[in-house]
Amino acid sequence: MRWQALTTPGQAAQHAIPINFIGTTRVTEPDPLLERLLAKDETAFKALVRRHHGMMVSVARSFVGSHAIAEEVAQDTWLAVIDGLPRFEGRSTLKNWIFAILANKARTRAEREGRIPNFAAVDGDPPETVDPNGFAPDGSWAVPPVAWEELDPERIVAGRQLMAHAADLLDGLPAAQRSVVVLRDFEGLEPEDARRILGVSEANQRVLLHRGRSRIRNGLMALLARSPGQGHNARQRSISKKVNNDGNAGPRDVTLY
Amino acid sequence: MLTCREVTELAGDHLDRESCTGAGLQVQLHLALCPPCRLFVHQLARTVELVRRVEGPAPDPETEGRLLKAFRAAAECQPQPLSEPLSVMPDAPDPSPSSGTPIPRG
Ligand SMILES: [Zn+2]
Repeated sequence: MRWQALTTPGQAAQHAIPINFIGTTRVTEPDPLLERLLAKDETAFKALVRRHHGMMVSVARSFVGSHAIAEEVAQDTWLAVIDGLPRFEGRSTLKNWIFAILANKARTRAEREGRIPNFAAVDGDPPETVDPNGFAPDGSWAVPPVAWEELDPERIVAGRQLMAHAADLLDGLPAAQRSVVVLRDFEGLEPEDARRILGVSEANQRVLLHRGRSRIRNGLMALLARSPGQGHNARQRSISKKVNNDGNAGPRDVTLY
Repeated sequence: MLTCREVTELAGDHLDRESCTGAGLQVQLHLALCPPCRLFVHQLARTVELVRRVEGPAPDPETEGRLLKAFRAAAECQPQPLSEPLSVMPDAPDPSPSSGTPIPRG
């Protein structure tokens, strides 16, 4: 027996039980993934878990502090998602809904653990009086950016794909910055949705996002500066999985802007 | 006139959308005149693209197995959650005759 997929807009809205979630993104087209989930497609569920689980743990960790508890929160969230799927209205995106559940659970758990899930303060983030991007006090560039090579995600730098370095840099961000960057840039949530899920003000979110992105950019910059000449044959190298550490610097494919 | 620092913050937030607000226009004006800020914004955009393509750490196989099992179990014990209209519908018309009594006209 198939579950009835209630993805036709209108029809779904009439028959579904309202379920508490926040989200401002209006979904206008049926989500094929959601239809597959409602049709009990395990492959679809597995793909969903693989895509989001790690980042859910990462966001939950911003609230609860410990990785082990964050992992529990993420797993609890999946159980709630499984449970709520048949009633999911499809009025917000699936991602929105999942992360809203996650944040609620993480907040509750943090409170139980005696943590105050206040995103402005949860960070351990020192108030940055010196901007990481190197601005003078008057707001002009003290250290202007230097052009770098194009970022091919599969390019090998220091023995790993650039994408893997980016993942590490993201994971190493201070808690609040990490959550904002995950929701906005990795998950692609709308600013208003991400803001409400995390419970941060619009202004705070803007600052957190900017700082988080800037730190990742700066990390990439430092990485690229340390590994000259590894850009040229990146594609071939990534395909053959052979890491070139012979230090034989080839011509740099510098792109200027 | 916006400072470079202000521009990087504003432009970063509006990377993926056209911003035609007052601030957006000021940012565009600044970017047109300031190569370092232009370069910075370009690099930030590349960074965001890279983050978008990052792969999050996969759940460990045991966790994944447990979640799949839960998914399967739910699929088996909720055979037909909403294929029938719910009996209590806040916006359903009430067809009972008692409420359909015509109001006498006078
Ligand atoms: Zn500038």
